[in-house]
Amino acid sequence: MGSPPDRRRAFQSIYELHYRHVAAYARRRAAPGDVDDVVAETFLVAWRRLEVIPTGELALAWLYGVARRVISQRQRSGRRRDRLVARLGGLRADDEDTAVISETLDDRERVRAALALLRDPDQEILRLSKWEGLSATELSVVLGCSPNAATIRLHRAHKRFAKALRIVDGKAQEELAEEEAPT
Amino acid sequence: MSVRRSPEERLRDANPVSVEDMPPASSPQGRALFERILDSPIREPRPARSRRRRLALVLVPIALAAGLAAGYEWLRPARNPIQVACFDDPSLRASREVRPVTGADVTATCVELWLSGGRFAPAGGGAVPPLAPCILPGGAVGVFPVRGGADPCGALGLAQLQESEDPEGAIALAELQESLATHFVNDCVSESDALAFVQGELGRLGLAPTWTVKPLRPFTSREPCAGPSYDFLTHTVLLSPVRNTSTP
Repeated sequence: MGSPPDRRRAFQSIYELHYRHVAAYARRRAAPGDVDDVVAETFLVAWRRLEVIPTGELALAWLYGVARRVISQRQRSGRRRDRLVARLGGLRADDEDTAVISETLDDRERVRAALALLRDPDQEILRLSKWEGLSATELSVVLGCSPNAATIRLHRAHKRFAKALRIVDGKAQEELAEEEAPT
Repeated sequence: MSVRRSPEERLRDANPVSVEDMPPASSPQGRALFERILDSPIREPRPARSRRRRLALVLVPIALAAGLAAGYEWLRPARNPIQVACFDDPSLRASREVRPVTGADVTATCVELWLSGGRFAPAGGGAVPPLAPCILPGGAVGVFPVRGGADPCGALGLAQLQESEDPEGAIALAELQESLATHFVNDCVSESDALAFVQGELGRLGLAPTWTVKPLRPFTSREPCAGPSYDFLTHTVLLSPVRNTSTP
């Protein structure tokens, strides 16, 4: 990476380009009190391992991979378990726009419930694909597999999610029918 | 009715945080973090890594040789690397460049460097040499030029990258190696923390109970940090005690 000024410039470029994305990634998965720590740890690893960060668009995927591990380690350690949002991560009371119609909120809750029925790897690849908008190549960098494997995993996760959603939607309709049934 | 939208659409709409809602890097918060990171020391992982490499250079070939003798299919190592280190000489000390793998052929990732004007042939040079992918200590993949017909993997005591007949297992194993390499590279991880972490990863990746983890020998105050290596014969992650090189 050359001299310290070169190193600093290279890191600054990555930092300025991807700071918001990493912050959003962390906020989607971690409790508010942990977000800053996750972002800081992620970029600290990037600063120290600057030489191995892929160039171009894959740099962000590499950062997501680091952030994923940072969050995962925190969850495993249990030190902040009570402050972490459940694996789905994200839907917190302070995120909700009270103006949003209740139907949308209900649907978000159903999506969340369906996601929670899946295994962690399925949840994560779906979030990375739909929330972070990653391509198969980028998914492969985050998850540590080949692009082909990422595509297959994503396809399978989609199928399982659709099935889980059908289950949740079915339950929601059953509950609605019970509420509306004459007593 | 929103229920009629596709599952993909509904999932996308359930995204709780928009990137646009985040403060930019130029915000006071972003700038403060940037300065804090630049003020932090860059701990050089190389000494620790080289020591681990030396340990792994001893352990991995032994495990691989024993496994080959026994004919274990599990000897087939990582085959889905996310990055590959391209070397310009069949030496672990040679100049190298780490590149992301975007295709199925790992060696093709390095060919570009050998083409006329590439990093390994800046003055034009001749033909692209034969390239051989090997498993580096720690599980990453390195691609070396073949000089004089000699197998660089064998010369360096490394295993050759081979196709696996167990894709899912190989993918999980590659992911394990990548995860451990990242986790142990910068910090001094104690024996108990290392055991817990590796056990967690084995469970997460579905490698347990086939794969287990254990310390290679007792940890001491002189060598309190864990360095991972792999015994493919017994399907064991071995934690070697190494010195703490992460503190001044």
